[in-house]
Amino acid sequence: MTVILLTSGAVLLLTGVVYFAYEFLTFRQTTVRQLSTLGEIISANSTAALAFYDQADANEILSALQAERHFVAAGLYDLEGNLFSSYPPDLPPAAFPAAPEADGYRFGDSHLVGFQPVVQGNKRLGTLFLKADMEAMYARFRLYGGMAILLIGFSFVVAYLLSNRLQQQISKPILALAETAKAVSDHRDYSVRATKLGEDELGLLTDAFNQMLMQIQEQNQALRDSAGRLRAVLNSSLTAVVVIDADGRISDWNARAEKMFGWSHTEARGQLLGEIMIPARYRDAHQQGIKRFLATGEGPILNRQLEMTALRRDGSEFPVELSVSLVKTDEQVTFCGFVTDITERKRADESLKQQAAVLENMTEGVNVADPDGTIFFTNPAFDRIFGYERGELLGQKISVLNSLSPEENTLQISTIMEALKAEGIWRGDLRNRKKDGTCFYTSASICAQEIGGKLCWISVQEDITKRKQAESELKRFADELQASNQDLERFAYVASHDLKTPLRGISSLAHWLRAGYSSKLDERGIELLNLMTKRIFRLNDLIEGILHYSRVSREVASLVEIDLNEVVASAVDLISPPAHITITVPKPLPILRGNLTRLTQIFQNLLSNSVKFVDKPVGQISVSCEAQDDKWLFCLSDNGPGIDKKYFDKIFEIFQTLHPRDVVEGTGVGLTLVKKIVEISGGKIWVESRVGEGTEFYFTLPQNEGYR
Amino acid sequence: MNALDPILVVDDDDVDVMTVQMALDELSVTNPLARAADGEEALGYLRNSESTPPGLILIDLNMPRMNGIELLGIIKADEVFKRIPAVVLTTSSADRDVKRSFELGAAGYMLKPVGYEQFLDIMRTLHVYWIYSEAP
Repeated sequence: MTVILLTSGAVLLLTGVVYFAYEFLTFRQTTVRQLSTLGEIISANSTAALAFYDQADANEILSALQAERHFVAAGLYDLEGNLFSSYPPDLPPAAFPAAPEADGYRFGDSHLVGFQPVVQGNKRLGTLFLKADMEAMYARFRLYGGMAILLIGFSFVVAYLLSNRLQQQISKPILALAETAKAVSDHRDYSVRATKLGEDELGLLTDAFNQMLMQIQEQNQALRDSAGRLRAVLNSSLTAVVVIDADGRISDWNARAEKMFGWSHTEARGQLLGEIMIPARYRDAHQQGIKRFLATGEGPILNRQLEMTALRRDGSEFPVELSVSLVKTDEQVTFCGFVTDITERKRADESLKQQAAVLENMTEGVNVADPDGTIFFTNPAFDRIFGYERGELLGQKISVLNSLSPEENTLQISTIMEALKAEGIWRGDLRNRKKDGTCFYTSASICAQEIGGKLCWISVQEDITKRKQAESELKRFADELQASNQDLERFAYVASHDLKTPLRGISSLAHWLRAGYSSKLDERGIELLNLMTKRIFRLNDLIEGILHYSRVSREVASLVEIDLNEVVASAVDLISPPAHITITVPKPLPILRGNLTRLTQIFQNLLSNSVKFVDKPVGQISVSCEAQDDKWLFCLSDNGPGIDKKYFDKIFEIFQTLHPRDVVEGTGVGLTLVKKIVEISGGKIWVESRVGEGTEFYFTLPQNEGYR
Repeated sequence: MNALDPILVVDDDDVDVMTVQMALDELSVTNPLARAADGEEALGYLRNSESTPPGLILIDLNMPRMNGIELLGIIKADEVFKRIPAVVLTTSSADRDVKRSFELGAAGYMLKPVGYEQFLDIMRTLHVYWIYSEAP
């Protein structure tokens, strides 16, 4: 309002000044012109008075001036410059200039002064002096000034009233609008509305303004909703979303990323992605990539699925799949990264690879068929076993693989189905057909497995043609061996019976001869009968020995825990050595798993052998054992006669004795039997001896395995 | 076994049978001795309605035509004969024979010793046992 007043005041003042100056100038000119006109009239009238020096007439002419009250003085000068007449008559001459001055009118100090020549024809008669005060002009100016002041004052009042009124009408609504706009921009509160003060143009403007606010508010709400939804989507996404700016600083980060990398949203914001998410060794490449993109616009990693290694907050690394897209707004470049943790997938991939490698390289063939028996997978071994090219079997029916008649096939299928129902798996041998028609055997296991919603048949097969051949060969050998064993057994059986029966008969007969005919026999005859009986018994022992020997390898042994100390004790008990022979066991013998009969046979034979040959007054026999590597080493030593080295091998041969049978009874089977038992038990036996000093029999038995 | 019931000896060897006879004589056994040279003959004796049923059968195993195991199988499968105690008296000490004999229902298994004295012991034991045993 002040401005309005000042402006209108200044305009009025300026107008007043210009008008005043104009008035001043025109009024002065008008005044001079009026004065000069008057002067000319007076001077014309005064010619006669001057020409005739008629002072009265002159005074009378001048006194006419009294009608004009602004004239303060007037005078007529003659040619000599003497004041001839003056007005007003009472004015002293000093009030007049002493002599006329140059012609013309000029403003002096507060007076207008004029010198008008008085001329008659061409002849100058004198000079008229006029002096008027400026009172008229001043009065006029005063009038003008007053008017101007009045006008300005009035203008001010009007201006004030008008502006006041206008302010009500225009400024207030505009100010209100401005205030509303300020509030909106200050608080970003688009819910504020401007108050409408009228129905004029400003009212319309307010309406438009409010309309605009409402639209902005709606748009904002929509944006906020959309942003909220977007964030919710981002946060619920299983993919970590990382947004970075052109410097590589993180500007946004969703919930999944928080979880995946261990940094909260607030912690991550502003950090360099390279420093917190990328292992040190890859950081340079990352920086280079961003730089290159910014420089050249080339981003080979953009919009592609990449696998890389990422870094967690705790420093651990894990594999991720990453795709980066570029978001360009105006001049700003933003990269948006979508990161998926693929640790599990990698692991699964790895294990799949391993499984594939196993399938690829295993020697067993594997095939998988549809429920209707169409093969859709084979491994290389399977193709090889069946003589097909790689993959040639795919799409074929499994029935091409077997070489069974339809009846056999039906039977086999039902057998397999039953096994699958009962145990979930069928195992057995299959008779198959190669591509070239060759029949061959596989050992197979078949199971049903749901793959991709279908129940598929998986079979694992191993070519056992060679094994079958080997088996049949082995069976043939075994059969042959069994046959020969049976022959031997038969032989031994028959021998035992058929040889012993007549022997017993001889024995009986000899007995009866001696019993019934002793009176008819002399001493020599009795002796001969005795000798015969002895040999009968010896032959019987030999036969028994053969039977024992042949039985050793045939008997199926049952393995039991055996305390060798007990075995030795019972052997000693059975032998019941004579009083001069002592059998000692210096250290306890081990307990082992074995066949009791055989172990007993070993000790019994060796001990009785030693006892039999002891030739010293005090016989000493000792049994000892020590662990040696993975076996037991037994030693049975005596102080008997000793054995010459040249017989070391011979003593283990069957029916070989070193003494005449009539001196020391022996069959020559005992040591042979021992040797055989030790050897089939996986041990060795040997002898060391010094003639005259004694003999040591050594033998070993395996420690870990029991022996048969 | 009644003191008059015959003892049936099934053996192909004459001397062995003689040895049994001599031993029984020496032991003053009154039971008469019946002899069959093999399994078939033994069955013939048993099935003959005129022969007196034996109180004890001594069976050798290794015999021609029908061996002792076969004979034992037939006897022990027969409703009547299976009640007669049958003792195996043989030279065979094979486990298989021993097991098989008892499986078939032999009442005993004796090894023929080579010496007569031991044979006598065995015969004495057998006789004493069966003479005191009640017959079915």
